[in-house]
Amino acid sequence: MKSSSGGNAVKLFCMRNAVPIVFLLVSSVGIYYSQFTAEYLIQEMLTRLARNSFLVLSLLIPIMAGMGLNFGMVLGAMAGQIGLIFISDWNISGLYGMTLAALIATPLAILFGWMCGVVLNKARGREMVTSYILGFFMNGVYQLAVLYGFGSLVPILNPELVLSRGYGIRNVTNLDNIRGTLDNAIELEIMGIHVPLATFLLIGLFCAFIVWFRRTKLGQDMRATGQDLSVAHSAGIPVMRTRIISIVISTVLAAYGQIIFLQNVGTLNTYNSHEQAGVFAIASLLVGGATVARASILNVFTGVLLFHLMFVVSPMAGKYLVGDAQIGEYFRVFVCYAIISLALVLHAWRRHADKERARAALRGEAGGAA
Amino acid sequence: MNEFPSRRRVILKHILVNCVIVALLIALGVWCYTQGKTYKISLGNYAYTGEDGQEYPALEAVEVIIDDKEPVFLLEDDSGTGEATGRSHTMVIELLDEKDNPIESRSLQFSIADLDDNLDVNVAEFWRKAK
Repeated sequence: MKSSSGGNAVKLFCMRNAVPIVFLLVSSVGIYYSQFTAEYLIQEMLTRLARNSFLVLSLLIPIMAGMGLNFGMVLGAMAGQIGLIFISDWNISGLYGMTLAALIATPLAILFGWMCGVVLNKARGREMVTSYILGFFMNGVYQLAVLYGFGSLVPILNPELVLSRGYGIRNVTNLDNIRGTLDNAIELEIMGIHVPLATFLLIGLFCAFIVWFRRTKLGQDMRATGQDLSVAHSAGIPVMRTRIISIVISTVLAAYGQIIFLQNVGTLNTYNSHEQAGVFAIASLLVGGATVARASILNVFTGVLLFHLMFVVSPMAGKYLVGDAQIGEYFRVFVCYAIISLALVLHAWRRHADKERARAALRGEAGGAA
Repeated sequence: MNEFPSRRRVILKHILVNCVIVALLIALGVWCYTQGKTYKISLGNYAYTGEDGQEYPALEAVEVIIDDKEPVFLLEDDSGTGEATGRSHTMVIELLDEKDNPIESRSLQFSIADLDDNLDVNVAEFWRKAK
């Protein structure tokens, strides 16, 4: 009887963590064939963890409020980029520049988040696809504003930023004035490996904020809203307002996340940088074992590590296995997105299986009572 | 029954608190702007006429360091650009010998407001001021 329950527990564990387990196995094979040294891999993982974790963490609050994966976080990324364009124009350097970019991005992100929240409230039950399409819509608005508004309606004084025709921002904006500012704010090197300590401290602070936020009245309201909208409404929780607040917080944090991401990269691809922010962050979270309805801080870090481990090892593994790095890259794209699809399918299947199990248990108990 | 504040008072308090937060954020933004603004300073090493009407020659070879950033090497009648972040700065001028080794070093505090609109600095003049 005991071995049977133990077997069930292992089966349940494997079922719940199927995605990270598959990813870990594929990455392990990749590590073996890529022939990278441990130091190189650790350095890469630390850099990528510092670069991406903030963006991925910004997804947790909407999941808590039952709004699924917030594809609308690209709106926040756009707000962050607008802040960065302004500080590049004004030539503001260092942490002051990053702070100013965050201050400029905040009201924009609040506005975008509020708009997104209102739209998502009208599309209850289909939040993910709505926010995904809203991202495309706002991408068009952003491109219109940056390509035609900046330099004409919005004064841009730095000629290096503006297109030769006199208005519109160039494709690539150099962020030399803030490159690595946060990552190098506190110098720490362990056995030749550079640790971006200040960025990790900020990420740690964000994690503490999430833990604290869950215990607040608003956090509890969000959890109640996420569990059952109608029950929460009956309990007197302003569900629509709570949902909007969750999206606003997520969008503002995504703006800060994008600023941290781009200070690490050091170059802003004006018209494309934000496009992949949402998909990559969501993919990382799903790879970490999160679902549409449940995500934790542990999922974030596991996901970022596994997802980016695949990014690093697959081109070299492909090169050594089949003689072409590009095939490794195709393999990575194929495996990554297949796994995201798998995560979403598994979520639907698991939800169905959980329902069936609950019904079976109920029948069993009812039978026992009779 | 007057233990709870009136609704009007609560709303006014909320508005006041929000206004204070916005004002603080704007103040933080202005502070970040002034402290983080990076200026490109034109550095020249030219002969000049002092206020006393006397002609002073350019320095033979110098290295100019502004706020511990990368040094700018200037020969006689040479020019270059340096960067300065914020409002007040420290300029260190190192006089070099024929083998480019420093023989004398002087430092000077200056502010962006002290410079002209083009942010031109004559290192030879600053060297004399730093005496």
